[in-house]
Amino acid sequence: MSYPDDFRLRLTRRQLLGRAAAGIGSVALASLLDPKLFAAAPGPERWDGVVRPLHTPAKCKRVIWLYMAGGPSHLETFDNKPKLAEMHGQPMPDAFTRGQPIAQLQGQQLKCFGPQHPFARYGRSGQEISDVLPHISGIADEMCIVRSLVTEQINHDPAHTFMNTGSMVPGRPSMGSWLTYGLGSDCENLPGFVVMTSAGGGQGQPIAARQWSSGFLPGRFQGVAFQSSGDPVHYVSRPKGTTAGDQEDIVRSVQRLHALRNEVIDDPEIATRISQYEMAFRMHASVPELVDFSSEPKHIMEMYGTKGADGTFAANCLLARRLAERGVRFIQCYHRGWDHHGGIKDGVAVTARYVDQASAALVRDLRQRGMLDDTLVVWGGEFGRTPMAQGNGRDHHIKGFSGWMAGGGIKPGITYGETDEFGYNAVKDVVHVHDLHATILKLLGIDHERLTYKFQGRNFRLTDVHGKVVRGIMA
Amino acid sequence: MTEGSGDFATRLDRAFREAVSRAPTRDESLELAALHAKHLERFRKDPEGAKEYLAVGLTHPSADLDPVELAAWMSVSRVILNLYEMIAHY
Repeated sequence: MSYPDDFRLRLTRRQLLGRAAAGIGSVALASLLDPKLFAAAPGPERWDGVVRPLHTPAKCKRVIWLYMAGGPSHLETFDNKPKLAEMHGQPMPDAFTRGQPIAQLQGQQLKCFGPQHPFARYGRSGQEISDVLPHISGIADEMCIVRSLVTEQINHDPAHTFMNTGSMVPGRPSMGSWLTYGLGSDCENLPGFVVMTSAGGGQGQPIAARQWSSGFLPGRFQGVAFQSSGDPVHYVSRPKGTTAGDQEDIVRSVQRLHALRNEVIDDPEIATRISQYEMAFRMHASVPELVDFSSEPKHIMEMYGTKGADGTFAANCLLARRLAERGVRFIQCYHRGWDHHGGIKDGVAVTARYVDQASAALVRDLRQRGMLDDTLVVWGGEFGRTPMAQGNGRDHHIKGFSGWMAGGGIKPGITYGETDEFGYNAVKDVVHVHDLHATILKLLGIDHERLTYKFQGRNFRLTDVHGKVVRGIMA
Repeated sequence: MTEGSGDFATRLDRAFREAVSRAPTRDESLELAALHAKHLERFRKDPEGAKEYLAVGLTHPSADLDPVELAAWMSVSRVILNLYEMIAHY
């Protein structure tokens, strides 16, 4: 693996003097030459990634992460606990909770709170899924339900940061950035890492933009967040009275001035600007076409349950499929609305209605297009919820929770891992967030121990010093 | 637009200094002069387009100013305001 030097900002004294001399020299040379020399805009080098060849054969090419933000209750979705139902209202055994991290229930009497919705078995695989997810139940045979997820952060923002970057401390690159850095993008007209958000069904905490930050990786690998209403990308449409050619003149001029300045400054941030302006210019053309759903037949719109690109989770799922078709590497659709501290029975049911149909539609749609084989769909949140009552809701819980994956190299129709009979601790085949990361990278053909980036004198990786590939969920 | 002698170099120098606190280099001036000339020519053939272009935003340009000339300067200004140097200090 080799790292291009222009992505390093580690100047020794000797390098500084050397670069300064070369910089001054080349500016002097440039001014002697015909300025038309700069007429050709500096094309942004296409980024093909640093993992070439792949470490191991890839099982999938791209990831769509349906990110259920807020902490969906595993006990009302994918992890049925008859014992907990039996114990409903009785004190939670102290052995489970003594000395354990607790978010809002600190110092309170902890009582068992049984699952609030009935479960049934679905598909030939007979996977157990709650009644609030009737559409997702229909794709049971495509899904690998993981009931043994574990994270380390019990509050939303650090837990999101942990889930996205493998660290609770902000500043590390998120997974989408690692993947576009490692693999490049198959699409030249759209960013390799796109984020969409929707909300509904519960208190929807904001998601900080640094959740899709590239951290210490070059800025071009940062996720691009599409707006949920109006133009998906701000100011991507041209000013009135101007043509595409006028716009191109402006962008090319900006590019040439940046290139001139970068001769002197040699700042990777200018290089990032140059590549981002080029991308922005291409998006003038690619984005309106991307969000124009008029090419989608009625039955597809109905399958997802959307009327158009209106910022709903359903619209975002359809947009995710269109982005995947165009070769975008990593797509995250956040739905904010799973933080049910109170009224969890109705709360989960309402939030589920926002996401259930479109989640299932996305998997079915990818399947019918032959894209599910090389697209990994991940469905899950930053943590789960306590088996203990918080009034008639549940508090945050990190010792065991559920999610599911489908497609790209995942074993379909299985349930992996178990929590104990209360749904408190993941006890069998535990899948830590680092393990999830290692596995997703593996499916994409990356050895998580070998995709590293040197920063402040140390090689960093998404899984830091942890992570093991979960072979049991791989096809 | 209304200050100084109104020649290209003076105006560019003023705009550049306002934005990035330094004078443009020779190459930067040449690049922006070329853009200015091209868009002056282009809006001269399409004065209606120039007016639409100038209607973007909250500022209403003075009626005393030639819309074609102003539109060409708007293009130049857009380039300057999009420089990374606008938000980073070197």
